[in-house]
Amino acid sequence: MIASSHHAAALADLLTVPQYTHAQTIKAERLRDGLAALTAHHCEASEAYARIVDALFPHARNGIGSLADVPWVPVGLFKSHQLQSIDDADIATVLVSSGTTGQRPSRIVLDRDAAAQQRTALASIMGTLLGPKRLPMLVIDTPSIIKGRGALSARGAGVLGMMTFGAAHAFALDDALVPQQEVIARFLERHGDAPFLMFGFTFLAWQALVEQLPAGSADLSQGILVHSGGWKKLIERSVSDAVFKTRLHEQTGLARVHNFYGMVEQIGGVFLEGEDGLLYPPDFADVIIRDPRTLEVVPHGTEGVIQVVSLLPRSYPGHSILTEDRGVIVHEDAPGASRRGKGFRVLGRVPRAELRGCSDVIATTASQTGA
Amino acid sequence: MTVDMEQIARQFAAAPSLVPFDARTLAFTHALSRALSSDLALRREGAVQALAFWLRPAETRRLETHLRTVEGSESILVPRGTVFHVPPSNVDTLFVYSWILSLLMGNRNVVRLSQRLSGIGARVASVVEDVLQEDAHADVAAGAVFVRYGHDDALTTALSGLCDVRVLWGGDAAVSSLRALPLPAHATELVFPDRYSASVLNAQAVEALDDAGRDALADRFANDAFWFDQNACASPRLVAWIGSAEAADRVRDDFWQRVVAAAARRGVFSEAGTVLAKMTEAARAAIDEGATQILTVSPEVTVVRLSALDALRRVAPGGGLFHDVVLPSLEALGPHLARRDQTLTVFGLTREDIMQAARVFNGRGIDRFVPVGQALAFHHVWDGYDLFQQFTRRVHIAPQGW
Repeated sequence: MIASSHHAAALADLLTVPQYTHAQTIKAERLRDGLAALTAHHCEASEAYARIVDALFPHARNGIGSLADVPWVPVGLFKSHQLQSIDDADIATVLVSSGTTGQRPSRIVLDRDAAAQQRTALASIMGTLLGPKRLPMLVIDTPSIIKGRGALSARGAGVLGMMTFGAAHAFALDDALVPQQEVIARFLERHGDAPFLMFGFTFLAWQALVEQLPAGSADLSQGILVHSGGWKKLIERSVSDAVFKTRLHEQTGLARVHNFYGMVEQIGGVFLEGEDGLLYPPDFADVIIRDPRTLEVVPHGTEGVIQVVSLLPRSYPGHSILTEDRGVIVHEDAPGASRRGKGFRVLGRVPRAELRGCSDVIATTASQTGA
Repeated sequence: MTVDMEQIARQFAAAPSLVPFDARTLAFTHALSRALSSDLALRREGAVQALAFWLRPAETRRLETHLRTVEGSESILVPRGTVFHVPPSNVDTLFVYSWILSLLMGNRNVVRLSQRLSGIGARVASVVEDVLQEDAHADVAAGAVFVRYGHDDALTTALSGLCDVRVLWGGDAAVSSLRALPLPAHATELVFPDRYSASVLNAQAVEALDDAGRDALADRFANDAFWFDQNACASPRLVAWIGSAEAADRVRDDFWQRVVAAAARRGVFSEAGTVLAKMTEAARAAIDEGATQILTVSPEVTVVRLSALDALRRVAPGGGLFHDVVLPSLEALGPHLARRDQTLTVFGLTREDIMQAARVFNGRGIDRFVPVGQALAFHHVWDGYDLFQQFTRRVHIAPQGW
């Protein structure tokens, strides 16, 4: 089948390390071909997806001219529908998002290939930061987070996924999410003189390393902190990215801090912060910014809603997702930038609709059926 | 929050007994009408001015005439006593309608105001309070208590203990949880949960309109739809074109374009959150309702075209998401109706057509048929209740044998 060979070739090529090396024009063409093939594949394999494409993007079946023409799925759909393009028997892993209170979590199904590709993709991204060797790793979380019975929380899955890039793991926090100073001291005694990896959720890293750990009590100057999970709680405390980095540096000596943006709903869509403080898509993924009202693509430099695309989702139709996050592309293939492709910022969530009306419950879910 | 229940009970015990359409009540409603129509902050608010209009002497006289008609010759209508109103938190003016209808019947009233009440609703509440504080309205004020509080089952239960009628407005979940709180043995309850409403347009009649007529229709439709961000119970969420598919196709794209223009004339503006909520729901409609086409006519107007109503879920985020379907006749809507269906706004059908359809529907759904443009006009017959009768007791006096 032409469609699948297109996709396989594009993905195989783009997954090879090193990342961030393709010029955007070449990358965009390859992504377009691969994503068009994926769109055709999911239309074949998922009736639900085919209905969305036919109703919302009727022209997509006649060919996809550019990256921006690839049909997208609103991210909220994954909270109400388990979209899948594989047989139930082939489901190897189900990823579950950390739904906020009152919301149903997203459920994302992976088969063996998708799960393996997800690991490869993450490795090729992290390799650019960490080098080929596994570094000693200090996890900014409690060991209990990966021990839960049954389904892992999204935070646990994130920690477990990152742990494969480290060795000699130590967990910096106890169950109350308070720093265990003796554990940290022991880890630094053994590994603190050479580069080591740290991973934690953004808010936990701030709370533990800046708010709770006494300034100067731990020397993290050789550490590379990778953090994710969103800025919502930090924005509430008026902590910007700049404040985050400055305070971490002042109190612990930590100098290498890399945020990453991504969501459970899209495997491979992992956008890691470069040395210039901007997020960059790997070569097998990309971001597109759309006008928040017309959903048309906006020029670089204009804020809008983030669409993420990735060549990985083949087991479920999540290869092109319209998120509910706001962002802006700062530059593309910028001369002198450490990475090729689009350098962008995430600016927070799109504010929820505040509508008037009789009904107290405006948020709707598909589980409600007509009375 | 602490509320002195004994004080409310004492105040009500001392309040003078008002008869239906008491002169003191009418003096107050007319004063309130004037205050609302002259308030600088509210003068431009359509919903508030509609309320002020409804409170004018000419309107209250009509209501009184109606009361005398339904009273009949064998009974008289008297107040029920104390009515406890729990209005929805996000329709600015509804608490006044609920309260005034009961007040006109002579009842004492406790009105719960949401802590979220702000903007227009808060301003209306403050105008109400100012008028109540005038000496001339002391007798009405004695029978009126407004309590502003958030979610508090203990307080709601305590206030329920005072009442003869409890009136609950709101979403299904809120109404269900409030209904579980106990009432005095003799008390009755009126409930106004979530409803779903539609518009029925005769395709041929729309086609027969000239440009100005079509624009006027779109304006009236937009008024119904966008006044409360399409989230009022009576706001149309579905448009059913009556006629052949060909006839409907000749007018519907044009109609939606004109609705976009009408929305713009009203200053409707969909924020990003609303646009995304509509897209998400539209995508769900494609999967679950078999929507054949989703048209983003503008950021304010998204049209979900259905080929049939069999899978309609009646879920809508509001803010301008419309389902659109063609039916051969009004009666063809009947099999698809549900208890939840409240208002049909109609264009291009005769009253006889509608009467006949209402008989055919036979209570399966639809409590109200009004012309397009009048979806939000409050009437004392609402959600299948005649509120005049619900807010009174009927005292039977045998006609003979004395």
